[in-house]
Amino acid sequence: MPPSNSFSQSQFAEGLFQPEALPTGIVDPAGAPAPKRYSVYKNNVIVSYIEALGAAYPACKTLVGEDFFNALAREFVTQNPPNSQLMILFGEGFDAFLNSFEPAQQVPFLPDIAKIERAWRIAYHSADIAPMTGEAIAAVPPEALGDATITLLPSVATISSQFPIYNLWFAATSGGSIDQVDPSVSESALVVRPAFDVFVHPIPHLFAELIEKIANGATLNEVAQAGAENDVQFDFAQFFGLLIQTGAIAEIHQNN
Amino acid sequence: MSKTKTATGLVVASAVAAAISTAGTVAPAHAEGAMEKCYGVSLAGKNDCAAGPGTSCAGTSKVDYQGNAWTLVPAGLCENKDFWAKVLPGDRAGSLEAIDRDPVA
Amino acid sequence: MTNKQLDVGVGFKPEHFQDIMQSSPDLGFFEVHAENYMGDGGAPHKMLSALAEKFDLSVHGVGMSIGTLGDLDKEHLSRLRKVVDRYQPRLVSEHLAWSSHNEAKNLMFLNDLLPLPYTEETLARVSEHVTEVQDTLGRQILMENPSTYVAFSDTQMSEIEFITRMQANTGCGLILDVNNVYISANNQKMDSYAYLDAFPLHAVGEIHLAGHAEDTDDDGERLLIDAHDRKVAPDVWTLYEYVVGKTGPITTLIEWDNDVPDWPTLYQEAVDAKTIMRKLKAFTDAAE
Repeated sequence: MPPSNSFSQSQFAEGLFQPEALPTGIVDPAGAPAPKRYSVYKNNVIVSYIEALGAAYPACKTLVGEDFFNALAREFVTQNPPNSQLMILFGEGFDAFLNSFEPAQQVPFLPDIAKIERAWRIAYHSADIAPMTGEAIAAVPPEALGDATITLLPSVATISSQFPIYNLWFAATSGGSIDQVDPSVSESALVVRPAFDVFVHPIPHLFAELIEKIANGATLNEVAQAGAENDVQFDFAQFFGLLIQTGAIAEIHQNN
Repeated sequence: MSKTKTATGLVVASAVAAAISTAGTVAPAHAEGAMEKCYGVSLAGKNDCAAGPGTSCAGTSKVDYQGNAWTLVPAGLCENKDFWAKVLPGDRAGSLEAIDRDPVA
Repeated sequence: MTNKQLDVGVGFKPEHFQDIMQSSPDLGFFEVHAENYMGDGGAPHKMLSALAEKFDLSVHGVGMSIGTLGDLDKEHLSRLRKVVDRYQPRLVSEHLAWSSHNEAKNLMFLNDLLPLPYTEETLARVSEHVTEVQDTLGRQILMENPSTYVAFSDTQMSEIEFITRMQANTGCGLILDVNNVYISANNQKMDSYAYLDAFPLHAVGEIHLAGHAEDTDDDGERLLIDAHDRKVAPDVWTLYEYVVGKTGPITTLIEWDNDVPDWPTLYQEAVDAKTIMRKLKAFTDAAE
């Protein structure tokens, strides 16, 4: 780029992410170069990103503490600045970043906690769709159920982990301690927002897998078969009861 | 339709019926009214009224201290060493050493 | 209907929702950031709808980046339109600033209100953008004077001239942020009273008030930061009195966005603004 005295928004924007940068033409009222004044903007931008990420991932922050979280966040936000004006949904990809960023390996369960919180955030802002009631489900002809497929609420997400993610998340969000959390337990979680409050439910791993199958368009017959193949003890009524109870079902589609 | 499929279909139909009747007798997990939490009955720390991230129209008086943050170790709830000793068995022992080696601030 | 004579509002924070609904404060309106209500559904819309039943709303955009030298983000503009159509706010406003950068179609949102040099080129661009927003929304918007920390060697005209011409070009209304005037006057070594005397007050539809923080610049001189993280400073109240003395009672907003206090503390700021207007009004009435 040829040197220029004229203001460039590209230079101004790019310089915000470079600690030493001072774009040309940025001065104090006397006309002298003003690196410290310019750095007020660098600070505003980075701190606002870090704070937004902390607000989006409160459990992660509580688990690792503010200093460690902010250091992780600083790394993430400089590599992945927001690509949308919707800061309410900022933080996509934080779990993947935690998976790959070496210092975060000290906290191996953190990416899965981040997944819960990301699902929570998306659920919080998802479209208002009321779950099907038991009555409405009872009105579906029984003979149509086997080949039926289900649309879940837009807020529904499952997270499966080798770590006790539900209990860790719960401890972090309820002001508890992790003394009572048994680290040898692996947990799956269901995130769903049936009305205006987002819920996180601990669920068996198999249930999480089956919910994924439903989300991918499997019929209830296919889901029941997959469940039985996985676990002879599998109780479809219990599984389906969970979907009704948590308000996860938006619609049942009869395919015949 | 194959025999197994028909059989499964029956299983599904009766299981759904059972699920509905059970669900009908237990208050749904989401029975708590909409926005009730915002009226002060929320569990501590689970307040859905908290805004989460949003846009900023203000600068900040907080300072982002750059520097090599990676001498840091997790603190917060993860300060609990007993938990770490259990959560990081076997192949993750390397990480555990890294944590034990560094003093927790 | 609201007593328009003493029309004071505050920036809505969800953590105050319960207090507001229970105490029904004597306020004319609440202001929200448009972008925080651009989600599909959920609690934010639920709360804002409940609020809108009791109070007028003012929708204050933070992300339109009207000061961009590129094109406005059409997608974002249609999102703003959706919020405005849905909530029918009494006021819609944006900033004389830019906040996103578009390089090779990759948008980067900077989440801060960034300054621009005051040139014929930027004036033309900003005027086009204000007009585009007003045409899309089918209504007038208010444009807010910025708080700034740097100057530009490119600048060709004063901020007052820029704002006056932008207003004349577009027919937009203005927000006069008195805290921003105080901050910029300090940071740019201007006289805040001279600035207010020259400001096109006839176009002002809303006053903003907020707290600021103090830092130092490259030469160790006092640099003020528009932090919205504390009470309105005494000097800013004094400037506000000066403005209200010129305009008479005027729609006024208290902003408090960082380190948000409890509801009574925030509400007291609004009460203080009313007290000033009431005092000045009584004084004017007595003089007549």
